[in-house]
Amino acid sequence: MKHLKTIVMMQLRNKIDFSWANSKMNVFRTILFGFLKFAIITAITYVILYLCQYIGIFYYSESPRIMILVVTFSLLLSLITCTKDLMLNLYFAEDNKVLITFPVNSNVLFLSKLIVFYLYEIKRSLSFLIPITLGSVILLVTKGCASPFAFLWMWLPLLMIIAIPVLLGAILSIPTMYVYKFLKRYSILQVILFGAILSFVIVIIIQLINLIPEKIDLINQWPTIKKWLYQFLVNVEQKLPPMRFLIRIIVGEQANIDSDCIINIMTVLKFGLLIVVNFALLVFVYLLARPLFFSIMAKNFETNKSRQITHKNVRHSKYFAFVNKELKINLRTISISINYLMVYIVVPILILLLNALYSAMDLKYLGEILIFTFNILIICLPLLASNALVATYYSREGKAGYLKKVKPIYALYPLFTKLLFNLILSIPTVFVTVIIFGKSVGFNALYIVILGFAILFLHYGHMIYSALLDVMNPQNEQYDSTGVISDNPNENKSTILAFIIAFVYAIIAFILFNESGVQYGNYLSACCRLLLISLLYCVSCTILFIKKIKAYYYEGQ
Amino acid sequence: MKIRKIIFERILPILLILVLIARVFSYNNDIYNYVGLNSSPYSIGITLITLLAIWFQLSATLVVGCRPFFNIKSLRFITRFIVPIVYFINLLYLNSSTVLLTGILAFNAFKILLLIECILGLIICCYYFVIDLKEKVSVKSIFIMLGIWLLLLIPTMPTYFLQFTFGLANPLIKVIDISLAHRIFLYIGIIVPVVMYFLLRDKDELIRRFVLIYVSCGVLIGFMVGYDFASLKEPWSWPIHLCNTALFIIPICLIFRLKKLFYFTYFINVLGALLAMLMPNYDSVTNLFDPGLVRFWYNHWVAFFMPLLIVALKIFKRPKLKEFYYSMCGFLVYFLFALICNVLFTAMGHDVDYFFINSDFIADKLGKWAEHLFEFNVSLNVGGYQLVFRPLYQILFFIVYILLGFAEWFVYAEFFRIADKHYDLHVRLKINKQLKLEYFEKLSSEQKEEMMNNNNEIKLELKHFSKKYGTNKHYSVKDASFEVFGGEIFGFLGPNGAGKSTIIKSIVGIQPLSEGAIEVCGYDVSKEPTKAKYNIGYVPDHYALYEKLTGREYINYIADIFDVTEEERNARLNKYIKIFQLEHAIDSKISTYSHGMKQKITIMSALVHNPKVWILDEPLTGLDPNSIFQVKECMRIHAAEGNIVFFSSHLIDIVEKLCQRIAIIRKGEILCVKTLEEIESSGLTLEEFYMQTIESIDAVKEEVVS
Amino acid sequence: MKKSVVLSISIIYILAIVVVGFLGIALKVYNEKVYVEEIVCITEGYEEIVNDEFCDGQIIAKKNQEIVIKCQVKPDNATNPMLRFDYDHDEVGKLFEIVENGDGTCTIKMLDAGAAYITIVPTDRNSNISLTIKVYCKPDTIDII
Repeated sequence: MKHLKTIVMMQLRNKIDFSWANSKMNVFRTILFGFLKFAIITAITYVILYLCQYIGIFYYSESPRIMILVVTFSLLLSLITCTKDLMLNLYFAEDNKVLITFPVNSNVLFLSKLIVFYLYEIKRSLSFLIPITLGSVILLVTKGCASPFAFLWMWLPLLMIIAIPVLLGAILSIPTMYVYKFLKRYSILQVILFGAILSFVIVIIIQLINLIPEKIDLINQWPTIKKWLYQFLVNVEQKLPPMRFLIRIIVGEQANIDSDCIINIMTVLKFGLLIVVNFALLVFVYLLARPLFFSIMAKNFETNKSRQITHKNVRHSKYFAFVNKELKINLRTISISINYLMVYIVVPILILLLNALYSAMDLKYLGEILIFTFNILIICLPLLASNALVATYYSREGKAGYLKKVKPIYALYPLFTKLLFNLILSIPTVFVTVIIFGKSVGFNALYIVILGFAILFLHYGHMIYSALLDVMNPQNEQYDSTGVISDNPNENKSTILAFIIAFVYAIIAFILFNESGVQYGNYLSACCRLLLISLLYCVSCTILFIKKIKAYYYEGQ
Repeated sequence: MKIRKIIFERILPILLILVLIARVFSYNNDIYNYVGLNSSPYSIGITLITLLAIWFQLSATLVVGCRPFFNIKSLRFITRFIVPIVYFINLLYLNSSTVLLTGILAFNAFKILLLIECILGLIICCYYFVIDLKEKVSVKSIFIMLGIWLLLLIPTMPTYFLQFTFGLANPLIKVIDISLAHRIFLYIGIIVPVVMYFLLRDKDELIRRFVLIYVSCGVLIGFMVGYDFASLKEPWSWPIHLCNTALFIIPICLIFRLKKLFYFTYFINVLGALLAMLMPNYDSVTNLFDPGLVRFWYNHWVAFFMPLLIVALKIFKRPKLKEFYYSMCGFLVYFLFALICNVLFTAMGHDVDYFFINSDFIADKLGKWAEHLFEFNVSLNVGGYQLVFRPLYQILFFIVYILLGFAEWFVYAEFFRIADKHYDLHVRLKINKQLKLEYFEKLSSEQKEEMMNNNNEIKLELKHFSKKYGTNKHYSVKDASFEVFGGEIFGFLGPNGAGKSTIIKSIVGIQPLSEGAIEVCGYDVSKEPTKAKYNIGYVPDHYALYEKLTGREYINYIADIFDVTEEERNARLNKYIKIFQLEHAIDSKISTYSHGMKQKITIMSALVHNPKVWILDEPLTGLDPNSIFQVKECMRIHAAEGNIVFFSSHLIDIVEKLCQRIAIIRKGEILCVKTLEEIESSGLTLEEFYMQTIESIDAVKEEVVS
Repeated sequence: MKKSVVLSISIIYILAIVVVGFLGIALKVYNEKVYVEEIVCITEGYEEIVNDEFCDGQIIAKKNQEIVIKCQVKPDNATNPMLRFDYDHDEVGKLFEIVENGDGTCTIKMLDAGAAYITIVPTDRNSNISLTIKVYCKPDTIDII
């Protein structure tokens, strides 16, 4: 056990970036920003809950019902993430090769991994579960529905609650690992499974579309909707007694739904029960997963000899060689392909559902303009956000990426070839989505074509800019050593920019459509101006990409 | 001679400018009453020529006034060829100018001043004509001169010109309330400085200063046309609005290089001008060609973009916090001054509203809460005058402006950071222009053939190569020079961090050179990188492969890049597969390979195009003895074919057995380049020689230090 | 895509529906006009006329008999169901007497034998709609022995 602390700290340093602890200024800055982020999420939660109560969805003392919903959602997401991440971490992590060779008991190794994961999960919860819970508790306390003691008390149960998905994930990681290995071996099955899940999602969406009432009038139907929401919350509380149990531990007991939440002996007893449950889970994990851990972990580094088919040497032109290489790598890296396909297929479906809802509403002129605006926003957001992956394309090659500079060909070709498939695959998605949108709002073919190109060029511009971020700030070394980075600055920048661009573009679309409709009675000038803006953006990003590669690529190390 | 120079290049030009200023103040406002050429007492032709002559005179006088201080080629040409014609035409149309601008034909101050100005101008022009007589004039320079002259006319356009010449514009075009026309005017305020920046950023500081001074002075003179001597006696009609002050401050700061005053305009005027452009304070019925509108936009464009342009073009440096505080202090002074003028002049019965703190113009736009704030006032009776202050509104105005100033600071910082990055990019692109050409050169198959089988001597040469990383002052490699010839296996030895990998990476093109040159088979790696790289095969210190590809696919991919024919690649691949015993693995994914197999694939891919220079960076690390033997054999065979094998290694025994020559590097310096025979003849093994070389340097250094 | 990104997009998606649902809905305007599209006469004693180009219906009346012409407008929720009666004013007092009752009906009394044509028109904008009723009073019969 004496090595446990050392191994935990070693793995923790690898997982979480502690470089900010080197200087006082950085420590201060990191803590300040972290605190600000936490405070903002808490404040937003408080405001949303306050507004919900203001418009009458529920009364203050009924806030625990909302907490049940949120905590359930959060724990479910955490469970899925923990299962997947624990599976990769326990059985497939690269550092296992090194850890296995240490003179420590495999029990210590196993425990250290669980502890590291738990601490990392606490860090992740600071961005979601904890501030949301705190926001809810603040509302309860400020409205007098709970005692201020809840502020001090809530942290203990939360720490135990966060452990639940970690422990359950550790158990579920074993069957998941077998399924994962099976799918990895037969990659065609991954595609089939993905296709099945996608078909299921499409069927669900179509069912949802069929369920949409003929007329949606949120204002006049508000009492019905309020009642439905209220009933939904009641049902959630009734059908999820374990979640109710957990929330009661955090906020305290209520005699009835209108009374205050009080932390009493019952709460403490429940908390004790939670500790016992966690302990039982830990024991179960220790007894079940730990024995399997070492053998499964070791086996994953063995590679089977597969039957080899002899191929011929095929010559391609110099430029097609890059295209050919990228095609092969893309097809063989299922995770990235699936990631893209999901976005490219889900976006049209989302727009279909959105417009089905809109068509059930009787709208005035402002409503029509808002429809155009929100459609453009919802189309652009996921498309542009998916470009965050492009911001890791070149770095993912690891050290092989540097060798482009050694080849007797201008690096722009291989760099650009990497984007080629995204550029091509996004065309049908964008146009199908815009066709769905255009048909729903009654646009003619010309508007659809112009808008399609407008969104396509915006998407291209952002994609090229994301690629440029990766070129200018390569993370090849990190990807080479770890295979993945949790906090790639290029990815973060690309995502933030995606949101900003999508929102700004939507606002511009709103202004232009509004003006165009009023001045000319049609939307042709708005569509053309949107196309012009996107084209300018795309061209400027492309020129910047080419120029920066010319100026900096060969200067970089 | 010196006296003549002082008279013609200092006294007379300054006098000319003073005469111009005095003349501008001697207009009356009758000129603003003319609407269209038909309203003129003269014929259309004469009126048009007179108006143009008046306009061109303003530019001409400014040019002549600037000429002695800015010895720029275009200015010299304009002073010699265009300006005299302008003065001459003005002399011819003296009467019509006088009538249009003063309303009377008889000799008056304006006429006399105009006459003096023309004569002075002509005298100075004659002087410069003689001085610059020997300068040759080409057709191209004439066109450039005319183009520049046309550009110089823009800032000095008189505000009455459009209305007088074209009459009233379409009344439906309203430049207010963010209409289309208003937006176009706003876009002009952004596009013009951007264009000016790109045109001027590569020019000399002299040209940049001249353009900025000319534009600011030109607009100032155009603005001052609306004032006369009578208005000077009425302080309440002085142009003391915030944006008006910019018109005076900017040229004064530029001419006399007053830094502290400049930052006032940089922080305060720019913001004020932007807000004014967004919310113009003229009526919505103001016509597009109205002199008041023209004056408004010229004033505010200059107040908005000139300070930014001045800093962007590095006439004044980027401000620090200290300069920001100075500007805030200056703003406080101006605010108090404007406040006092407002209340005093209002109490005297004049309608005055400097900086809009005396009326509800801004409050109206902000809403009821602002109007309530404005309505609260405090009155003081001083010397019989009722001074009305609106403390809440005015204090809030002041505070908000300061806060906006802080926000402005951040916006500036961000924009200038982007501008700096673009400028750096621009500079680097200019340097790399040659590189660009080389890369895009499409090599024909004959040229490739020639390169691969060229008659150039197979040689690798380093000439005083040095390398610094980033902005580091310390050299990673300093003044490295050696040659390697065809048929040699050249060993490169040195401790860890000595610079071996740096040199190798610079040869193959992964890193750029800081100083010196590297030639591969006669091709410089900096100037002709494509040709050089065709002759290089590189094995890195750690394999860098695409693990999703099979071994065969990867080698074929490399072969495609090097344009290896199908027959050659088949022959070589089969040969190396046999040598390295990869028959059972070549068509499996690289991810399933062991370390040794991956290294072998890397070696094969470096040899598939039969490079003349084969560079290996510690290739034997992690290989089993069988693999080491195979690699060594490949190296011997490759060298025996007349090629260069250049490799770095820590395994001295292998280097000793394999190489003909070696180099030893330590802390970035090549200590020696020797043949193995020379070392053997000294009675030492390579290991002993190496240790001796490394340690003796340490010993010498220790002695020097002690 | 990161979890936080997916979550943000989901929230924006829901907001897109809610915002349009609240801000974009066309509120019912109570002065929204519903125009009269048809007038139907429901007066008792109405007889169908065949091939009479001058009117849509005929009422046979006796001398000095008071006939109340009642009409119904369609649709039932027409904003302005009031009707106006047009007739030849020269004939008033000679051939017939007519009183507009102010409730969309009028009472006509034939004073002599002859035909009175009453055109009923809606008072809203829809002036294309009209109905012409002929009130016919037969002359006294003379028995011929």
